[in-house]
Amino acid sequence: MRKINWRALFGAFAVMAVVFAAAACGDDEEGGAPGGEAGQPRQGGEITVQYLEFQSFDPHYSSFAQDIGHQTFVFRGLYKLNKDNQPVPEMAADMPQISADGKTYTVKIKSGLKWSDGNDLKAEDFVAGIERTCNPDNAGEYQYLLSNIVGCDEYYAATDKSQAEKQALRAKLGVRAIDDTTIEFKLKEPQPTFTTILSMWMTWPVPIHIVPDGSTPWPEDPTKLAFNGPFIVSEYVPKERMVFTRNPNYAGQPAYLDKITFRYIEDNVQSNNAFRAGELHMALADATNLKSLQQEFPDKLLSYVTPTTIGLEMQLKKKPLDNLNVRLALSRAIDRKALAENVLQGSVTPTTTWVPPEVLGLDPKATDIFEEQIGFNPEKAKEALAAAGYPNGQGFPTLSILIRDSAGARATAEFLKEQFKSILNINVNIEIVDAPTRSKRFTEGQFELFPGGWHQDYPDPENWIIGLFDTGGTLNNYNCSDPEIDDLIKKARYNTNDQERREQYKKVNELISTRICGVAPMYHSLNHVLIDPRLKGVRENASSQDRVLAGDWAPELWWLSQ
Amino acid sequence: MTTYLIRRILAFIPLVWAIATITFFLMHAVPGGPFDREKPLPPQVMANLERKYNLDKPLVVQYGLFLRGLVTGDLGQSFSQNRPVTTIIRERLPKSVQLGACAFAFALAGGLTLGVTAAVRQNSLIDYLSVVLATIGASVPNFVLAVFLVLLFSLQLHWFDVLGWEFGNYRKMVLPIVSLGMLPLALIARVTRASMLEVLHQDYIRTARAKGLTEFRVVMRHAVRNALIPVLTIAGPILAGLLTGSFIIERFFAIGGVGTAFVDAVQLRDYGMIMGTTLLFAIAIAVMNLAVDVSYAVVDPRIRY
Repeated sequence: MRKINWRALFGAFAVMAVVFAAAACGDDEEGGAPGGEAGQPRQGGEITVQYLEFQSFDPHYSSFAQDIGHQTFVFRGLYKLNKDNQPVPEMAADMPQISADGKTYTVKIKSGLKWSDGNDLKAEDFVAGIERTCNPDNAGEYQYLLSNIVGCDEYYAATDKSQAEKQALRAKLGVRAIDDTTIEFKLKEPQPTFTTILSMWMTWPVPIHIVPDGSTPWPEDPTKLAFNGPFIVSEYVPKERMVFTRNPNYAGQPAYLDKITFRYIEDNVQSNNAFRAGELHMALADATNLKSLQQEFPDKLLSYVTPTTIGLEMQLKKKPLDNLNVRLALSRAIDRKALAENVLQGSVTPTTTWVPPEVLGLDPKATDIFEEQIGFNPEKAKEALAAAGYPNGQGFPTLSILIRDSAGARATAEFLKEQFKSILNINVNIEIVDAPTRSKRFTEGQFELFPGGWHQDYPDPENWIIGLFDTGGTLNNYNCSDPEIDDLIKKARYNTNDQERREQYKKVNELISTRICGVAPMYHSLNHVLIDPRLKGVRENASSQDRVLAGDWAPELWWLSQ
Repeated sequence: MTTYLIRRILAFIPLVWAIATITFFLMHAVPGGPFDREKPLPPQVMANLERKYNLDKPLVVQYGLFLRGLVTGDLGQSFSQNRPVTTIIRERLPKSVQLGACAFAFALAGGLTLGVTAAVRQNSLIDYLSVVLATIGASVPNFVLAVFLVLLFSLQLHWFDVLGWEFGNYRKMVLPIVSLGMLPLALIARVTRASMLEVLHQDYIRTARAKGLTEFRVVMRHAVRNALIPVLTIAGPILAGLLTGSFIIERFFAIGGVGTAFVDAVQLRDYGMIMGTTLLFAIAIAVMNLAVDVSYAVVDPRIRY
């Protein structure tokens, strides 16, 4: 029997380990600032970016960010939101004419509009888009944003009615094409945000020469569609890639880039490797490895706040969470800074406000506006718990915190459990389930503590409040019921005095946050993106309108510097 | 043999029905549905979605509709992608089959070579090396191996691409094949080595050598063929597993195969896709087991059906 040369074997493994470590460290051979270097935009060029595959390409059905992100490349509405989140004409020729009572909107579209296949884009295509979203058979997931259009709710609720009855309800919809270039909308109540709503995906036009009515299914192959956005879909390989090329018939500013390829990658570790290897111009940073990425790509990593608030949601119908002092005690026992920095590795920014400050017109950094009332303060937390009748946690029941099975959720729950025990001397059980089970339990109100929150649909405070905190609101699963909040929402909802309306919502946010009416805000999420320094028009356009990647709400503004 | 084959193929029908029925009722028993989202949907939206996909009907009616579709080859609609399940599987299966077949060829060629060489050169350095390699292959998870291979061969040496799969393009083929094929290679090597060692000590091998045959002929003609039965036994399920895709490798290399479909479907409660992928896996395993049984008769003349 021969002897094994263990030294040689060990040496071989040592060499492999060194190579592995060197590879893991990587190097950053390119410098320069990412995205928005000053300079003249250049026409032409092709890029490849990481994206998440869509689930539906139908804008009148979709609700996922990646779906809407795709659709933004190829479809556009009457209006779009500019960088300052203000609606400006896109397919519309001008801002809408609004009747004196605020209930009738008349919109003229630009003349000579064309679909990408050369067919005329007419007012009736936009009308068909609204009809399709309100159609119960299409089951559009964002129909509720069109509730204020006359007849939309009635039509959408006609689930069990006959086709003839549905047709009759469709005919009563408060939207019609007066002529080829004029659309009229009838509203139930004057709605100050309606022009903003007309910038959103569920109102975008339908190429009725391809999809003639609501019962026609949206084409499975997106390349078979016609488009009115800055790009068209030239190629689609499911689960692999989608290729966009410039739409010569786009009525807005023509896109700078000739071609953009979405590479569908779900694993950010691997997309970051592809970025290192130069296979991608933009990728989502692996949030679990953020500190290392910050060192490796100091000039290529862009981190910015997204319009998402995550808090500790509390079921107000369950004792003792119906007691404000208990909720205050729990909120004040959460060290949000430590949670953000240590547990979530700086991937989020701590907050004490439900509505992000910029949505309220405040300094975006003013996330600590309610620090005094609900922020981390162990002494005041103990006092509040004692005032609720549980001095030093005595007699306090064991609560359950419901999370989904993910590393981040586990770490957050463990952190909260430890904080509540060490500061308040109370016990919390962590209940781990998978995502759909957790969501089901949430919508049924079957939870006590629930780390969750809200991602903005459109940049207006009403989107953060209506339905979420009004008594009986369809998404008010924590059962917030506060007469003062209800009264203010009622006044603000159809208030056409914009300044007054915003002040009313600011007050509602204060009440929600300081009374912890269902949720103790903890942090706002950040988006972390790796950007090739040659790719411009991305960093400077990163905004709360982004769906997946920085600046993807306006890809026509992306360009390559060389 | 023909009667045997017909009998086995007919046995697929109750098998598929039983698996479909159990899966159908199990998946509906799990809490949470396809439209229970992180961002909850209003009740009317939920009602319309459930009606659109027949989820508002009693479970027994849904089961009847499913069975009717199954008989006609219609597996229904994917709730998450709003497209027919059969279309999605048809789009994604070829890539998984290509990758799986290549990984199987790699595992079979590597495993047999390593196992036979190790057995023939028992207790030599090559034997120890093959045992070490087989142990590493069997114990290192494929996602760890994939990360290591990408760091070394893509990012440092730039030999291969980080992402994707393209049949015929070696830059996109080597790393997924090695990552996926290493574990089966190790298993085949270990089984082959053990089986070969047993065969090589049989009397008929001694007789062959005594007759003056070359060692190559003894090994290749007399030993390997007889040592293949245990290898075939494990090769069938391995091939079935490889051809139906790997969640980890397909996700890691961003290959749009069917391997990710099942896990995604379960996570999203996409009932149609769960049924489609479950039935695909079940049929693949049943077919491979039948193929293994048939191949026994080819390899071992003593076996007759």
